[in-house]
Amino acid sequence: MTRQIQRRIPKKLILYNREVSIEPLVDKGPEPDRPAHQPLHLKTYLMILVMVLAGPVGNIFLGMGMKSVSPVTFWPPAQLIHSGMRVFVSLPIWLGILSLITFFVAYMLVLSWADYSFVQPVSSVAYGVVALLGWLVLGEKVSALRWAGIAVICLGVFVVSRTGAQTTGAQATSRPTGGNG
Amino acid sequence: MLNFILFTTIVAAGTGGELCVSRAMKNVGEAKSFHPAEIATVVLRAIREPWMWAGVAMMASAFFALLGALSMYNVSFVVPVTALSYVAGAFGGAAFLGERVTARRWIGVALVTIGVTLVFFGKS
Repeated sequence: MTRQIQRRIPKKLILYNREVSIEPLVDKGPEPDRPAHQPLHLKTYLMILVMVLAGPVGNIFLGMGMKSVSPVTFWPPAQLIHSGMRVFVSLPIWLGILSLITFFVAYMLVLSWADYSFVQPVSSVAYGVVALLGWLVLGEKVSALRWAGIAVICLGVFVVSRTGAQTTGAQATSRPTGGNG
Repeated sequence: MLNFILFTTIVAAGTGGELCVSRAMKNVGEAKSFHPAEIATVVLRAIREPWMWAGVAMMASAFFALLGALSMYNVSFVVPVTALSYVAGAFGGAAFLGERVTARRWIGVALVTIGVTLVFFGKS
């Protein structure tokens, strides 16, 4: 019974991810055969979810904070320092920084489990999320042209990431375990 | 003019900072485990790397430029424009790291550029 399940899960992963590699989804630990595929797989997707939410949320908070501080005057240095102080004591800015740190930790964790070429296209979803949140939370007007632009950017990131992860030195025949990204 | 400086700083300093940090981390070597002692050793080695400091300084500049841009423009405009870092990354990788950028990757880079252009003209 358990053996059956173990055999089924990786197969599903191949089907799902057949053109990239099975590597991002399987265990990268020292014992690749230990029956822990499912939890790791879940953990990776959970972290990717954290990534594509925390990043945009952080940017939204920063935007919110900067809008509340604006107008920021750049030139007379005294004015810039004054604006800087107001930014420094703004709560949304610190919430934004906290969110971005969360994003960064999740990004690092995901990169340690999965290939960069797998993480990169998935994380480009964040461009869509940020526009969506900007529209819903901040009430920004996002024109159709801008939505189209964001879609093309995601497509571009997808195409970039489908090229070989390593082009320097000897061609990487063995799947890198994350260190080459 | 100011917006041009801000966006250039976000993209160039951001990408440059990442390149510096990744170079520093290559010198430091990989962390073999997640034990606190091991992580502390890696961090201690990392802060002695000049490349690390250069990278952190550039990334900090990029962050402040981002704040500056966000004070003037919508988030849904600023963030997509920062995708130009993929373009900078391709050129930077080719110029400084000797990476071979394949035709396919250039196509992707071109698509990102087209997307950013659309976002730019879709400025409402």
